[in-house]
Amino acid sequence: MAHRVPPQPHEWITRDRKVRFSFEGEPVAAYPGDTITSALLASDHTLLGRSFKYHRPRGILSAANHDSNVLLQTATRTNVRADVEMPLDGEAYTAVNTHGGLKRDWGQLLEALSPVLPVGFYYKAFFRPRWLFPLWERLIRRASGLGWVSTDFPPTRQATHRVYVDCLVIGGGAAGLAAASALLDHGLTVIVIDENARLGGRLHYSRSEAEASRDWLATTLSRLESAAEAELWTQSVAVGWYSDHEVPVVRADGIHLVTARAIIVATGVIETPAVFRNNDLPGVMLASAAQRLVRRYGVAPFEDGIVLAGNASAYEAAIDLKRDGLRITTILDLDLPTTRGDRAVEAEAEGIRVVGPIKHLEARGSRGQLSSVTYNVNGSAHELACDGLLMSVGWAPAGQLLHQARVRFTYDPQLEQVLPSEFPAGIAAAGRVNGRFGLAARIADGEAAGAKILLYFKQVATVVAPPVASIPQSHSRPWFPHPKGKNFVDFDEDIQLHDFSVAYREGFDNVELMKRYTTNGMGPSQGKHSNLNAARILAELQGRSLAEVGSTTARPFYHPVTMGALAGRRLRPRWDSALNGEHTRAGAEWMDAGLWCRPKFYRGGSDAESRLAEYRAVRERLGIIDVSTLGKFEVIGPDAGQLLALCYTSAVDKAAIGMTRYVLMCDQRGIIVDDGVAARIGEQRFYVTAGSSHAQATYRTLTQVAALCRLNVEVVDITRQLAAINIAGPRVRGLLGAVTSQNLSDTSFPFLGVRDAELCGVPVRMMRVGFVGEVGYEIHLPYTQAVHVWRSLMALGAADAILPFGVETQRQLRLEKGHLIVAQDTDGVTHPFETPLAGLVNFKKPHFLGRAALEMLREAPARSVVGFETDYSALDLPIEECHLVVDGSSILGRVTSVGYSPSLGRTIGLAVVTHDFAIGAQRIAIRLTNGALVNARIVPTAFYDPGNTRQQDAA
Amino acid sequence: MKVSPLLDAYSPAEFVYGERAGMQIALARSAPITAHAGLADLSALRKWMLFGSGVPTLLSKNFALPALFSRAVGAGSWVARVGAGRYLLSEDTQRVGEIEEPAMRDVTVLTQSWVEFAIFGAMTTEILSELCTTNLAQYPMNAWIPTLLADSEVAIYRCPATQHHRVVCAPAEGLYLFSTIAGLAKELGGELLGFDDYCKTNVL
Repeated sequence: MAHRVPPQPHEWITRDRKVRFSFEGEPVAAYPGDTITSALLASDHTLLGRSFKYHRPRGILSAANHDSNVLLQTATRTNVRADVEMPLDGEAYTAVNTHGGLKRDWGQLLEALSPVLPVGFYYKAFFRPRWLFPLWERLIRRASGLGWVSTDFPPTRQATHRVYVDCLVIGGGAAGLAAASALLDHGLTVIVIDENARLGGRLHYSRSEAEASRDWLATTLSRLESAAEAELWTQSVAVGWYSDHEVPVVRADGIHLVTARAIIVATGVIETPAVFRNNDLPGVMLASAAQRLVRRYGVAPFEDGIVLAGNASAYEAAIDLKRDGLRITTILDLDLPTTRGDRAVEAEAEGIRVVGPIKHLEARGSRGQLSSVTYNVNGSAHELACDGLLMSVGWAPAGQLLHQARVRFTYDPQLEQVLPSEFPAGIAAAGRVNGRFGLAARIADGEAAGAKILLYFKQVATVVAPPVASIPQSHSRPWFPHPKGKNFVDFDEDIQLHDFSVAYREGFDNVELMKRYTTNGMGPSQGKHSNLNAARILAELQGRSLAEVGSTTARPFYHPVTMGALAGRRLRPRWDSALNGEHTRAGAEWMDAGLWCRPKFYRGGSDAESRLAEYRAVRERLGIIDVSTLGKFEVIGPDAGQLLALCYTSAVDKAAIGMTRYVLMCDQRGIIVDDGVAARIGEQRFYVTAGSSHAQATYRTLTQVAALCRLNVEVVDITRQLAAINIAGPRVRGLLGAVTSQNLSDTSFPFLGVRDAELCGVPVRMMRVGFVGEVGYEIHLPYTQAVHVWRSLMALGAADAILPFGVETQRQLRLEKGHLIVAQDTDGVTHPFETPLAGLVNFKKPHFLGRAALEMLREAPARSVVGFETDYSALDLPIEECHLVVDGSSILGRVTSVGYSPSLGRTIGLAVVTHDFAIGAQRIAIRLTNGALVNARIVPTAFYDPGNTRQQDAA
Repeated sequence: MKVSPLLDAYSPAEFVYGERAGMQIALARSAPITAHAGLADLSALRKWMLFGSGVPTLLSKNFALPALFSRAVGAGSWVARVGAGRYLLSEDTQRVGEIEEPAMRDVTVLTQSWVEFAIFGAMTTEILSELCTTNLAQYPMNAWIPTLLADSEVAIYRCPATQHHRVVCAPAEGLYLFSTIAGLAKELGGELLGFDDYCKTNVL
């Protein structure tokens, strides 16, 4: 029976008040400083959870976050790790993965089905009859997982903080503290982190080490706490190592992303369980768990305890616990007790019976709790009553961070443990993870690690590392096969000993394959307590050594990290046009365009009515659109023309000053990646626009080519510093003429011309270009003055009923002109010779991006962009982009743009089809979403004003 | 008149707006300044990008030519070398609207719209630790530091006073960036200051 014991020296709880919470509906009282687990045990709640697959009763195993036996749920949080978290006053906790409560969990029935639920059963079973499989799938999915989440949970948002330090020491036990102390007074900043509530590690829960280290610990902690250059972080977990020594540390307030110049890993070792029948019964636990519980929290997790020994430290633990006041009756040794030297004698002197070597170990339970242990020794069977069985058979190095940091490990046959052997620069290890187990050795090793880092920082230091421990600290075979199984290797995943044999027999005989087949190490504890045993079992199956078997790859995260911590503060970067306020006031319906937002249209009735009104404004009077999202670059220097000639397919460098050219950019494969306008401002100066979605990539291309070719040119990205407005319509010259001194006649400002002028008193750059098929001007102007110009034009244009128009209207207008939109009417393999843009490729230029590929591609285009029109019109079943163009059962291509043209009175569009079909074809068949076919006529792509007379109107 | 891209971050109920160097900008808090920590919009400080072989000669009248990604401070202005042959010249608060637009043979001048704002006070370190991807402390005082701040491209430079930085970015991301940092600053007890508030305060 678990119970609270009298106050322990330096215990972590304060007994002057209570914290009250409930567990499975029953009230529980705790002391401040208790974990949820320790408080439950103190109240004799020994049934703490249900296992993942078979819903077996579970109690504590490690009490150190190295297993997931005790995961709890509240109304607002899931998967609360009770071994390390303190209870909240008034909170209601329940166990995860239960149906009908912890005690009456009907999931227990699954254990009766365990013969048909072996490891990997879902790969093999439930497929017949096929019609039942959806039912099994739903049931299996519902049964999977542990805790539940709800969208009603209050959202948590935790900030991520960046911290920079000279040396990060991970692990606050003897070795870590010694290392940190060695670094003081050398002008280096140091942070020590530990996942426990207090620094000291094992020095707190091992009685013998606590007594031996008391003065040293007090002095060292005092020195570190008073050092201005040192920070001590408790309840902080380093969850991974990333390049440049970037270590995310999870703390209560979020992730602290520590970038260190050097790292010392002193993370110790993780106690591993023995594997025998019913080793998962409540009452069976790791010896270190019992030590933690009694010395930190004043909780005895049993009345009558037996220690299962596989190493010398088991005897230390047994003796320490006895001296702490717990009743330890027997040590059952897996080997001859005489191999433990004086330890066995010492134990017997404490009144502990020592028995060994034992065989055929089995735990037995009553009402789901440990009640006795059976074993054989010297050929005869025995049974001992107990309610606590403490396993102390071995330690697995907590070297995950070292593995991630690319530290090489070598198997030490004497110690029977892998040890770090080759370190990248700026990394050191210390303590038990480094093969030093005694207290003095750990302290000396920490000091040596500190000295090693000082040398790395080119300071004077002498590294004197103590020798590696000379005797194995772990038993090499701590498992007992049983014909009835239920001897668990991985407690998280309910993986039993024979599951490994099954995996091996089915060919999953490599450590990585065995992990995936059995799911060993894939649960919440990520193999902390199971990986070493799994590797040993595989080694035995293979007939190889542990060194030859190796281990699986340790990847972040070391512990699960909440999504709230990972999300950090929600940042949603955006780019704002200077005119967004104007659009909102005008009733814009918004759409996302990368990081920008753009108006789709402006609300003036129904969607269709709004768009039609905008359309008519542009075609009949005046329309104005914000095109600030366009890429904009100044290209300045003696080689400016040469750069553009290299990057675009046409002879941009031949453009006259004061004129623009529509330009096409291809990549080295000859694929169209962007289009734009290049305006020649001066002899050595160009102004280039790019598509909104490709602006940053185009800027990169321009600067890369300039650098590669060592051109004397500056490329300045002013995309987000200028606004841009396009104003178009039959009455545009009348409007603009009133607000600019620039002569807008055809002779002074011809179609495709560019002029720097003043408009509404603001210096602007005007380009007479057309995308929508009417006389139009694109006005580029300073961001901070865009509102003034827009408002001025809107006010002045009110007499002509000017309307702002949005992206959807713009797309319809340009479609009527047959203008392509890159990445809508083109895709990842479209080249110019598949489009009406072939004429933009000038092979007279010796070099430009994609030239070599285009020479080949022009010989045999695979596809063609064609225009089509149809009288089909069904508002509830429209032709849509990406509808297939078919010929019987063959797919010829797809629709890329489509829309109803009010001016033409019919539906028009662009489609990309196979080139061979396009030759001579007059009709296409388009398949709608419901499978119906619509016939369309192939027509030239300049649907509206094919002669461009409206755009080049000589007013 | 020009309008500061950050104007929408300042509530007209709490601030007096006005004109500085031809730009409408928030000038002063209506209520007294209490925190002496926070943000201030300095976008009225005019800036020009300079290129060309004549730039060193032009700048030598007022500045020691800065090294790449460094700043040189002159009388009421500063210049940062933002590229091999590219310089950003800016007014500073001591001479708002007074600097003549540079002009010289062999110098190309681009008049630039930039957002600039100051972050200052005790909460600066925490804000930057959360939002900035660079360890600013490793740079010398006169460094011009291109980096990411709240996932936006910015340049940051430090001011002589401790816990005092200036941020420069393109106008399009200015409002998002400024509003994000302002929200965080308010959580930490900071406040927004107007342009004149900043110029008058002892924070410099």
